[in-house]
Amino acid sequence: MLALIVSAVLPFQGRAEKLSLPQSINVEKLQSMIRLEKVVLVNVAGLIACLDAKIPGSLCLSCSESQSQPAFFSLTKGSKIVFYGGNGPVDPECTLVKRTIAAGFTSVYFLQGGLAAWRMAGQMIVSDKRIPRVFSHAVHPRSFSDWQKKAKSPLIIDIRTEQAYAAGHLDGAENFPLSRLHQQYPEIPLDRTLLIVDQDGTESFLAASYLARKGLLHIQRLKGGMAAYRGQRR
Amino acid sequence: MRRNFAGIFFIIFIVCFLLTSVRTGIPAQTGNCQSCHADQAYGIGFDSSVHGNNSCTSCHTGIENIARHSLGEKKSNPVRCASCHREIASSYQADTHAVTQNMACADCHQQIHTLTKSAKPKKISIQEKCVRCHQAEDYALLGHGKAVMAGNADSATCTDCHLLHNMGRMSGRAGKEAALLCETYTARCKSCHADAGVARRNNLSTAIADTYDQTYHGKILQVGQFPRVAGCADCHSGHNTLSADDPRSALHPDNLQHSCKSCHKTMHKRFVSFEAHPGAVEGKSYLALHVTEIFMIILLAGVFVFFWLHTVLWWRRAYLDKCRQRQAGFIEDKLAPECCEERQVQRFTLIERVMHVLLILSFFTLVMTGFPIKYSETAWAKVLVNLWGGPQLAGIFHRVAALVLCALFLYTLWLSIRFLFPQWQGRGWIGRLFGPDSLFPNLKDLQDIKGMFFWFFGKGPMPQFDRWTYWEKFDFLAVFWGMTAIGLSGFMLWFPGAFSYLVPGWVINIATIVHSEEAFLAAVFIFTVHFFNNHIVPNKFPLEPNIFTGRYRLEAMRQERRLEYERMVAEGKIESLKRKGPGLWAQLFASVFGLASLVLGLFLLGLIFWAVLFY
Repeated sequence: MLALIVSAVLPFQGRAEKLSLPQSINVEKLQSMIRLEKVVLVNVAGLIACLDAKIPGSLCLSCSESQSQPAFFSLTKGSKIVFYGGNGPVDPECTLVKRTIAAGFTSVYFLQGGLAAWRMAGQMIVSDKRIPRVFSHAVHPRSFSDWQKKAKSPLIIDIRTEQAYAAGHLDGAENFPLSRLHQQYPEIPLDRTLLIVDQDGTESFLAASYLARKGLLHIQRLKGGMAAYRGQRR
Repeated sequence: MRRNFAGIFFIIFIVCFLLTSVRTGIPAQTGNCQSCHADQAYGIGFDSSVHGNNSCTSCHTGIENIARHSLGEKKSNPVRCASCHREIASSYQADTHAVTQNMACADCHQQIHTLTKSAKPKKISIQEKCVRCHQAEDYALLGHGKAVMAGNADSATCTDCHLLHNMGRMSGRAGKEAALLCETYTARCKSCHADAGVARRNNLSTAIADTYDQTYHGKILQVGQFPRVAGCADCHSGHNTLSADDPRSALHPDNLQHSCKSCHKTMHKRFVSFEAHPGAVEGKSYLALHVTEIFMIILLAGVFVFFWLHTVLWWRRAYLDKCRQRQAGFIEDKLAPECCEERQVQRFTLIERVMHVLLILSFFTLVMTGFPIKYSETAWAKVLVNLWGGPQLAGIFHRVAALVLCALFLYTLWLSIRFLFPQWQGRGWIGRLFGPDSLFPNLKDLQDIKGMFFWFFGKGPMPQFDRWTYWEKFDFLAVFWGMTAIGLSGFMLWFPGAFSYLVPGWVINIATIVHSEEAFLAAVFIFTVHFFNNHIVPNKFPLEPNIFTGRYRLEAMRQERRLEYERMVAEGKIESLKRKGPGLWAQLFASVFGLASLVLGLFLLGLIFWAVLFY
């Protein structure tokens, strides 16, 4: 009976996979693709994150890439292109990916688990311009209101994408997406106590270290990011 | 002359060698570097640091031309700590700091050129290092962390739980990854809390770990949980290991409901009276649990003492009888197949046989999926669970089998009502209840028990039975009792949150005991007493197939159920019961399925006794 149900469901699953683009591939599959043919790897985690760590040979193009990137889009349409982020899946709303598909590329993939999965598999990474990490305290979501009261001239820096920020953010937070932080950091005042907020706590440490290297002081992070904050409120 | 040249060359060689040694030797080269890199870190602190015995170029490799390096034209290669610290570097590859944060050695070990061994205890210095990023109020100031800072060497510092340079990913909030994390961390908690020495020194009890293992949470975790159950950190909120009387503790009465609700979404507030470590706290009263345990022990002991004694004595008597008959030449060694015996009578209807087959299948499924949980600490538990495809699938099979059994129970109940009230006529139901076709015990059963024991000791003839013997009635009624107890407790364990709207949480503890002990009673009774009474007794060995074929020999009826035979003859019904022998396929099914069930049951009995005796 079970086999009957499974065999009845499987064809539908296969059909669903065919329709959804890009396809998701795991590290093992990517490795075998790299061995057999030329693969264009694109790190969409943002320039700072990409220069900090990437799969060797990757391009650093952020999701919100506004420029046309002629070199990239002039690749043959049959090229195999694998997009990957830092610790998690690539945002399905990633503009660059949509543009890539719209441009007629047919072999577009997402790397499951992103760079973290690549590293977990023991694969090599390269750092073109690594950001030395700087100690910065994590503020627990339940202590957030205390932090707001006690911090001297607090300023919340939300490094998520514009869409995520627009969908909901902490009161008073200002949006400096990580993908553009290297361009926008001069706008951050030097005399404020900063709280870096990301989606799930995995990017704020890099952003905090980057800002500390740029001379900003008093930087803290929201532990677990917005996901933890929302979970705490529930 | 040649000799003189050789001597001169030798002297030049020695001088060159010495000069080279002085130039490339450790102190000289470090001195050379420090002549430029003369700030405090390199000039003063380095020689006395933990790396002070190394030269600069031990780490900063690739500087072959000092002139070019001095001009800034050639930088050294990136420092590779792994060239010396191979083992640490290797394990660090999978550390969450490396994988998710791309943190390098020097990110934690800053001021590497002046790094010295801390004068503080290692646990304290580790904790101080971690809280530079991880908020101190969450970690260092609560429970274990606070004790570490107070100098308690037994208390856990960060790396005791999370490991040093080998900390797995922490992002698994769902699925197998989360289950694996829960399993890993609970094992680490137990490595200290189950340690008698640690417990003694810190006025704790190892019962905390032992009693957790006896709960559903602990048992599922031991067989390789998935989906996940509550590990230590789920109730004790990870780093918040404060005493339950501290208002900040997750175990404080004001917070406990919230803690339980993180898993048991739909639950009444009285659910919190569930004991996650029943019996662990000395002096705390667990009267209801003790009473339940004592009741179950008395029940089990009573049933097994009576029926095992009954079984042994019966086997002895039957064996001796058979030996005597063989010696007297009454028994032919040649066995005639049942199918060759044409004079047979119908004993069970088709629906009754199908029910029994379903009962066997569901019962074996329940035993094979439930007992690995009951004896989760045994070597065979995981093997058996994995045969079902892992704990999750085993759990699904267990529940499906339970529902099949419930359906059989309800159908049997319906048949019983129909038997008592045929065509909904109430008149005469008491007569039918205690009559010869009923499975309800009556006065004759007591006389039969007495008669059997007299027969065992050669003090009288074997009693004559009607349609149902007293042990068959016990089998039938035990299912009714067992289904009520095991079924109700099973549903409580299946839906603990929902049942908390009806009963307090501690009743779930009672349900755990009842479900477990009733399961033991049912399984061991079936695999010993029921198997013996119906199959292994010498005159039926190795299998009595009539529950599968539905019919048995007329001669057997005359001997074993003489009263029924005489009643059928007197009522003129005997002819309507007569049948031909079962066909080949029915015989084959009965033999294969019946014997396979017997062998499997005895194998499982062996596993159960193994667990009871050696764990």
